[in-house]
Amino acid sequence: MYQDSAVVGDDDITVSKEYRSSRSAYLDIPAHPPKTDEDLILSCIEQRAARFQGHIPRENLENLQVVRYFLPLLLPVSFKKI
Amino acid sequence: MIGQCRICSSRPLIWNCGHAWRTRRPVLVPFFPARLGLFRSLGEVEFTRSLTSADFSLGCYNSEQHRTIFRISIKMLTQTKVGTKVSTPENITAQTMDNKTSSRWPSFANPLALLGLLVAVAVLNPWGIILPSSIRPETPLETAQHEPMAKQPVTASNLADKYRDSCPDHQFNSIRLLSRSPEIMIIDGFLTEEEAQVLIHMAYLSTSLNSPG
Repeated sequence: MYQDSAVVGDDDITVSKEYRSSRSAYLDIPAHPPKTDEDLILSCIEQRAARFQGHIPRENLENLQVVRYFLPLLLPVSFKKI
Repeated sequence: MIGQCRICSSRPLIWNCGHAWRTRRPVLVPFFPARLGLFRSLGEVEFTRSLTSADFSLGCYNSEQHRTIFRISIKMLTQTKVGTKVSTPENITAQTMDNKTSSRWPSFANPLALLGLLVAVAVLNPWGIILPSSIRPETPLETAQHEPMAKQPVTASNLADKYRDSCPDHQFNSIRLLSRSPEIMIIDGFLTEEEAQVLIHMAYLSTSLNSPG
């Protein structure tokens, strides 16, 4: 499920910023060995990412994250009657 | 020679020499390979030069059936003959200007017309001979028509069936480093289109909490 993207502040506190309009969804860590079809696909992608980074242990990987970006909206201009 | 007038033989065929004639020559152009019997029977290329209208026509004449397969007429844009034209004070200026243009324009117009004829024959391809490999469809039309119908929707089960034996080899297209701090890297082709569709579908169903890294 997508939720508003957040940032980590200087004091390591997660804050939600208004200027971040994207929404993020963190996928579950796949079971090893894979139990479902989704686990199988995710484990293949994780294995690919681990191999790309120099065969790092898969435990060092974080959850896969899917980010959805939105196009900037053009807000309607309001006119004031003088 | 084909490129000269048959009567005066002094000027190229495409220029107006004032003679009318007709000649038929064997087909020389490579559009008609001799190994195809159909086009061997087409016979001759026919050149016709008209005296009255000063037009030039090019056709293809079938010597066996005694008929003209096709004929394309090329009209001369300007055919001014200074010797036959009466010069009057009113048209001297116009004639001078006309000579300037007519001495140059037909020399360009007729080769361009012939070039346009050759291009038209090559593009229209009336006999289906010229078919370079660049425009030849690689797959038959019957299979190409059924290809979109055979495309199935991508689901996790469909994709997992492909990955069940072993994960596919990773083949990315390019890598771009956007920034050092934070380190952002774009790996073009890291995910296939089917994998991306499955991940997006899973993202809508995932119940994990949003936690920034």
